[in-house]
Formats: sequence, structure tokens, C-alpha cells
Amino acid sequence: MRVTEQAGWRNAVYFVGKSLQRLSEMQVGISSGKRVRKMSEDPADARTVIWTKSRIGELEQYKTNASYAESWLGASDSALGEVVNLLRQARNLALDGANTFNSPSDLEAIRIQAEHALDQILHLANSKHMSNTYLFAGQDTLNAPFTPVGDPITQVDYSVNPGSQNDIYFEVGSGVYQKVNVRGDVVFEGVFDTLINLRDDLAAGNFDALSNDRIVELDEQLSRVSSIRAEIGTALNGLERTRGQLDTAILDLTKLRSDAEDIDFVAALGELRLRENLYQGALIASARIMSTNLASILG
Amino acid sequence: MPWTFSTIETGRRALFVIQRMLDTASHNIANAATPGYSRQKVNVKATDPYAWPSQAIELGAMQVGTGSMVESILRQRNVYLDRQLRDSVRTGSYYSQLETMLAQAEVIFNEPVSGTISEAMTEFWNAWHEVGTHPESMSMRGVLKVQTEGLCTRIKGAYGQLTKLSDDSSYWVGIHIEEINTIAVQIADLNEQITEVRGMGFEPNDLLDRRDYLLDQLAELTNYNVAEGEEGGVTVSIGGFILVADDFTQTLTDVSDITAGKIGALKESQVKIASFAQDLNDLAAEMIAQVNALHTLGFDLDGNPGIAFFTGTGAVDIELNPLIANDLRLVAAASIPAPGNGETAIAIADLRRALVMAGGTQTFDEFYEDLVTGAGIESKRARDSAESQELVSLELQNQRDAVSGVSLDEELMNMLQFQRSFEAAARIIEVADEMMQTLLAKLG
Repeated sequence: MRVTEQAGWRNAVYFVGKSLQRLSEMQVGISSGKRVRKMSEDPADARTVIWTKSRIGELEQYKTNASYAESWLGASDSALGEVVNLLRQARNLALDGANTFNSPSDLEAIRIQAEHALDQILHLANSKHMSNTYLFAGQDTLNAPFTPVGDPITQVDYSVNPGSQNDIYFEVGSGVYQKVNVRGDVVFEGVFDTLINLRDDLAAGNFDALSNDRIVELDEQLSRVSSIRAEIGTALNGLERTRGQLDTAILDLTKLRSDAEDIDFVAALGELRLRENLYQGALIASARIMSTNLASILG
Repeated sequence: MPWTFSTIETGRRALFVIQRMLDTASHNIANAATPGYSRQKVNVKATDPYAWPSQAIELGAMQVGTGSMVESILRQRNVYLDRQLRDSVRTGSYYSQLETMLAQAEVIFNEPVSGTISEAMTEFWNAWHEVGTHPESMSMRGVLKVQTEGLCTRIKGAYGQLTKLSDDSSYWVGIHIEEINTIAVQIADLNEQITEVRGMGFEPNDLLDRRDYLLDQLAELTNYNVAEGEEGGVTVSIGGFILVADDFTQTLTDVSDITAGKIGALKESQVKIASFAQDLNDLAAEMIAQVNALHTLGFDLDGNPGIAFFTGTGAVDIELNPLIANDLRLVAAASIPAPGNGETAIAIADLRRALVMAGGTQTFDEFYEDLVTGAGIESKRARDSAESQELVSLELQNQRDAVSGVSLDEELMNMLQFQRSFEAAARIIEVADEMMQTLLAKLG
């Protein structure tokens, strides 16, 4: 085939230009550390980057939710721990009070402690979490769940606002919902009646009631509150495991994303050297073909 | 013919022919880099011999040659290669233009890098979880507001830019139509001149080159049919529309028959980009509908039923309800009027899993990923096709060059030959002249 100067020049421009373009692509890739910067560079891998980013974002949120759930449950558990102590105290008071050898002044002393216990448990039942939401009010979190009636207290009412008898659930995994609260009307069921009666019995010296009814009731309540605490403990363990699983899943997704998105430096540097050589080769070949012609030889 | 003078005449003819060849060689060299130029070749033939009776044969005669003459100066051109190259250039321009437009669409989405709609959607759903787990908190509602506004801005931004890109296509089509009409007028002009020159019996090589060059340029822009008339003029038509016929032209305004070249690509990209915008609009419209449906069933922080969360109908006007933007208590996080109830918010967050797009088969994320991945695939395909076509065009141009291109080395070698031939022809004249002088001196 006849080769003209134009053809030589045209080929030179094309091949030198092409190898320079490929070299430039390597430069951008290595400098940015990313092998996919546009969808069209590798649509399948770029898509992987998008969906792994989204999924990681979703899982991170579940982790956050799980942490917050642990905070809720932990706060309830702390409060209930103190309630258990107070209930044990109350039981001891009932036991002490049931001793028929108590004098009226003995009974009065015990009665004052019982009153104190009642006040403290009432205070705990209206505990707040993070300073503004009530722990034991179900979904009626901005209103104190327990309202005392009378002074001295004759009864304690549980809130009848909407939501006070509902539970609160956080999503800690795709479609996985974790209960984070303890309903006041469930955990404190009968507690206030018992404590009010304890105080009144001590005031009146009802030794039979003290030894037969009050102690039995307090035992039941101790048992119930303790088992609820055990459930909370189980839930907390479960959440810790959940967070661990989420971490593992996030790690896997991160690796998937990195494989799709990030440059393999070792391979890239090798490729860079190759393309440099190709570029130089194209330059040399083009220079040779264009530099000599007949005129310069004829002189 | 008389003896001596005929020899001088033969020499003279040789000189003349060699001068023409030299002229043509220098013309070729001067135009070696002229775009669209095809090298010209002098066709030399022997002039008619005359008969001279032979003293050896009674009835037979000798034929004595009388020199050479230039029969024609023709350009070296392969019409078939022209057609092939134009087809290749047309296809290459098509994909190249398509790639340019689609690459711009990719930049608008800017996936998978950052500042993207997919990131904004993830943050949006997550913000609903924060509201759902802290339904009493104003600061979480503030976060939701920020994320919502961010999402709306990105969607509206992308939609607006895609629409503008689609409109830009129309603008560029208009520019190219003007180019076509300008070329048509020039072709008609050349047709007239070519017909005139042919009518006088000459071959208008340079005019033909110019006309072919215009047809090359036309090939970048559109598909067309070209037919050469008997008198030398060409008829160029696009579909059924006659653009040029000899010296007659029609102004092109309607591009419905154009399917190739840059205009074909602009038409195609306009359709594709409009469909990207439409998909984005469908996404936004569905999001508005789904979120609002749940939100209006919920209750806000004051126990009132939820109002519409989004205003607007689609990607052009999706907006956080200004009433909510001004009073975050109106965010309806609850499913009953209880402040600690965040079930509606969590349900809205769970819309990220809902199969509500593509006739109930895809989530918002999947639909959007299909959209941008599809755009990326189209862009890649256009780029790959443009690149491979570029190589084909290069090869065809080299082949055309092999036929029509000027090789300086070749012309120089020819010129050396002409120089020698010229010296030899001059020598003939000199010898014939000396011989005549001898004759005159001896006889006169």
C-alpha cells in the first residue's frame, strides 16, 4: 500500500494521542485511588459501589438504633435494680412490723421507713431517660406515668393517656424490631397498693395482715420485677450480639465496595509502566517515520 | 512530415509534456497537505504516427512515431473508498456525539462518587429512624428537615439539568441544520461550475475535490444519498427530501428523516435523556405519594393528624411542606397521639424496603440504580463504538491516501526523472538543430 506523509502523520497523531490518553487515565486512577469514577467506566462495579454504600448506611442506622435501645433498656434495668432493693427493704419492714412485741413507737419508726420506701419507689417509677422522656410510661413518654392521689397517699394511678399501654419498638435489623421499654402498669402492678397497705397496717398495728398478706405480696412482686430484669438482661445480650453481627455485615460490604471501587496499586503501577513504554514507543516510531525524506538525502 | 523539423517538433512535444508533468508534480507537492486534495496524474499518450513508405516492402509502410502528448490530467480517486469512508465517518460521528451527550448526563448524576441522589436517599430514610426512635426530640426533626431539603434539592437539580441537556440537543440540531444548508449552497455552486467546465471538455479536478470534501463534511452530520448526473452535477437527498439537485437547493428544516451522523445522535440522545428525566420524575412522584400516604395517617407532636409531608407532584417541584419546615412539631412521627410513639416515622423509614417502583417489583434504590447503571451502560457502549469506529476510519483514510494522497518522496523521484528527460529532450532539439545547421552550411 502506498504510504504518504499525510498517512504517516495521521497515524502518528492517532497512536501517540491514544497512548497518551491511556497514560493519562492511569494517572487519574492512581492519584485518586479509585478505579471507578463514572458509571460508564465499569457499570457493573459502579453499581456495586452504589448499593453497598446504601446498604452500609442502612446497617449503620440499625447499629445506632441498637445502641440507643441498649441505652433505654440499661436505664430501665438500673431503675428496677433500685426498686428491687427497696422492695426487699419493704419486706424486711413488714417482717419487723409483724413482730407482735413492737411498741407503738417501734411501729411508728417502721411506718416512717415504709412511707419513705413508698415515696422512693414512686419516684423511681417516674424515672426519666436522658432527662426528658419517662421510662415506664409506655408511649406516653412526656407525661409522668404514676400520679399519687391524696396526702397521705391513698392510691397511685397509672396514666390513661393514649399510648401509655403500648410498647416502644426500635428497628435493629431489616424487619427486626426490638422492644426497648417496660410498661409501668406491668412492672409495678400492685406494688403501690401493697406499700400503701403496708404503711397503713404499720400505723394500725395489723400484725396478721403484715405477716400473712404483705410479705406474700412483696415476695410475688420481688419475683416479678426480678424476672423482668432478667428479661432485660437477655435483651441486652441479644442486642450486643446484634451489633456484632451488624459490624460483621458492614465489614463484608465494605470489602465488597473496596474491591469494586479501589485501585489495586501493585497491578496499577505495573500497568502504568507498560503504558509509559507504549507511549514512548509510539513517539519514537512516529519521529522516525516523519523525520527523513528524500529531499534531505538528495541534499 | 519533413525530416529535421519533425525531429525538432518531437523534441518540442516532449518538452511540453515534461513541463506539464512538472507542473502537475509541483501542484501535487504544493497541495500535499490540502484537505480533500487528490493527487493528479498526467496521462500521456503517443501522438499519431505518420506512415512512411518502406523501401523494403512495396505495399507495407512504416509507422514513424511523432512524440507524445498529454491526453488528460486526472485526479486519482476511488469512489468506492469515498463511500466506505463516509459511512465510517458518519457512524463514528454518531457515536462520538452520542457519547458526548450521555457523558454529560453521567456528570449530572455524578454516581458513584459523592453528592449524589442515592446518598441523599440513604440519609433521608436514616433520618426517619432517628425521628422514630426520638419522637419527642426537636433536634432529630431538625435533622430530618435538613436531609429532606438536601434530597429535594438534588432531585430537582438533576431533573432540571437533564431537561436543559435535552433542550440543548435541539439547539445543536439547529446549528447543524444551518451547516447542512450552507454546504448545500456550496455544492450547488460547484455543480454549476463543474458542469460548465465539463461542457468545455475539461476535467475540473480541483472543483471535484472541493465538492467531494463538502460531501465528506456532510457525512459527519447526516445520512444522505448522492447520485451523479450526466452533466456532472450531483443530486443530494436526505430521505425523500432533495437537498441539492444541480444548481437547485432546498432549505432543510425537518429532521425526521435523519437517523445517522451528528444530528441522528442528537435526536437519539434527546430521547434517551428525556427518558432519564422521566424515570427520575417517576421516582420522585412515587416517593411523594408513598411518604404522604403514611404521614397523613400519622399524628404530630400535638396529637393532630399529619398533613402532607411533601408538596409537589414530581422531580420538578418536590419540596418539604413549608408548613412543616416552619414548625417541626408537625412532623407526624406517631401512629396514635402519643409523644413517645414513633411508629409512623419507622414505617416511613421502612419504605426503603418497599417494592413500589416498576410495577411493584423494585425498591426506590433498585429503580434508581437501574436508571444510573443503564445510563452508564449506554454511555460506555457509545464510547466503545466511537473508539472502534475511529480505528476503522483511520484505516480507510490510509487506504484512500494510498490512492489519492501525495507522497513527497514519490513526487521528488518523479521530478528527478523529469529533469533527466527534460535534459534529454533538450538534447534532441540541440542535435536536430546542429544537424540542420550542418545541412544548411553544406548546401547553402
